[in-house]
Amino acid sequence: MSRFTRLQKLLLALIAVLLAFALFTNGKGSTIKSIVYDPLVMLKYSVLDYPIETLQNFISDFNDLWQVKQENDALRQQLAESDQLSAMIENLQRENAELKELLGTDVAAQYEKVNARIISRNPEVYNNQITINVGSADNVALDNAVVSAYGLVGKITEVNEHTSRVRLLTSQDQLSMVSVQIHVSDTEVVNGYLEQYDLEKGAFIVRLYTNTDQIKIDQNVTTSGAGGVFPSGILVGSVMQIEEMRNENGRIVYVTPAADFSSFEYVSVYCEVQP
Amino acid sequence: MILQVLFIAAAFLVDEIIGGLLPHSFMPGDVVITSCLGLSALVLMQRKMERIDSLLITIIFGLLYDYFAAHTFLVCTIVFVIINLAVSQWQKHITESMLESCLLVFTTIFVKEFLVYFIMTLLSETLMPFDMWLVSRASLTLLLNGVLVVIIVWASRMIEDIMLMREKKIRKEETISWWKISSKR
Repeated sequence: MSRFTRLQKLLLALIAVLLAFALFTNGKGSTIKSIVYDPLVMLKYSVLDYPIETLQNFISDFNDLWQVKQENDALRQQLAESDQLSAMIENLQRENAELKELLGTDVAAQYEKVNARIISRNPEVYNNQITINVGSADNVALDNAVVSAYGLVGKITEVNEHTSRVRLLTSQDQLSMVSVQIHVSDTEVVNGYLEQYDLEKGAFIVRLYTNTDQIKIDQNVTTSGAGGVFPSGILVGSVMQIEEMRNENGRIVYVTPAADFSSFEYVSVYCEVQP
Repeated sequence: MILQVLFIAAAFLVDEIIGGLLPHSFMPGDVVITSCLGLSALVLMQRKMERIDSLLITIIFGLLYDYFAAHTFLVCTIVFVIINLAVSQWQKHITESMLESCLLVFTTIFVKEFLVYFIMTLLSETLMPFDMWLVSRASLTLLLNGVLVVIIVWASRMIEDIMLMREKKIRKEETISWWKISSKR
């Protein structure tokens, strides 16, 4: 006589299938994961999360209606100024490309911004990862920088055809190192490495391996572009506190994040476009 | 069994809905509130199942939760299985009164939060100190679930009543073919 009933055998078979599926798709870049994961995440988002978000947004939009006109005027002013800034940036980029060509250096890859929406997040586990609704079909690739409206928030760690996983900079698994530069003046920067996020101070830890007195509070910190992973110039935060390193030559700089990690719905991905 | 599984699945779905309505933050030190109705339903339903059936159902729900909700590999499965084994030992010593059921579920939620924190710390996914975990994660989660526990216990009792009514109905419709009774042959 069998030790297990028919139902138990069925359940065991189902467990074996699920376990094999989880093991098989645990590696990155699996085709099956891409085929199965994308539609299921989208289904969950469209059936559960999107209606709830819509309801929440409707309620908050209704509450914000009274402030709309004032915000509208202020934003119109900013928009007018942004055209000028945009023109200046284009001009500088053109000059930069021409000068690099003259010097015979390789022209750095250009980047395009792909807008995305967060479709899955689970704060219950501590891995600080989110899923967004763009993938390889939208030219997203591994290690692309992900930004919110205010600054850098993370990088792409897994790409499927229509979705991608993002590891946030606030992860504490120390796999989110970023090369950064601190703008000590209009023409000078100091390079360092953003290593991890400090829970107690609520700031990024940046290590500088030079002893410099030029770093001051509130100076901007941006990505340096070193290593070719992230484009340069993405705002990371501002200097909050400076400490000497013990037993080592250099400084530890605590950087207040520019991005508001308490809540964001939309992000942009810097995707590389080869010239 | 099917009714119990559907009840557990519905509880997990309600968890997702409540999770969407609750405020959420990506800042590691911020307050996080998670709804644990699914696990509560699992713990309450397993008391009426065979031990091995409940373990298998727990593993299946753990694997599904790992893959589709938590996006981790076996973390939630391990936590659910540990809780299943602990509850199956503990339930021999408690009755099925409302208060004890609520206490059982409430304690289970605390143990689950602690186990997840412990595993995440072991895996170096988080460096959160224990006191911060207590304040930012455990306290409000237990507070919210302390209210929801009453609802889920009441719902589980309704499910048990439905199952009991069904069994009674089946027994009522049973007829005995007296000529097949072995003592009469």
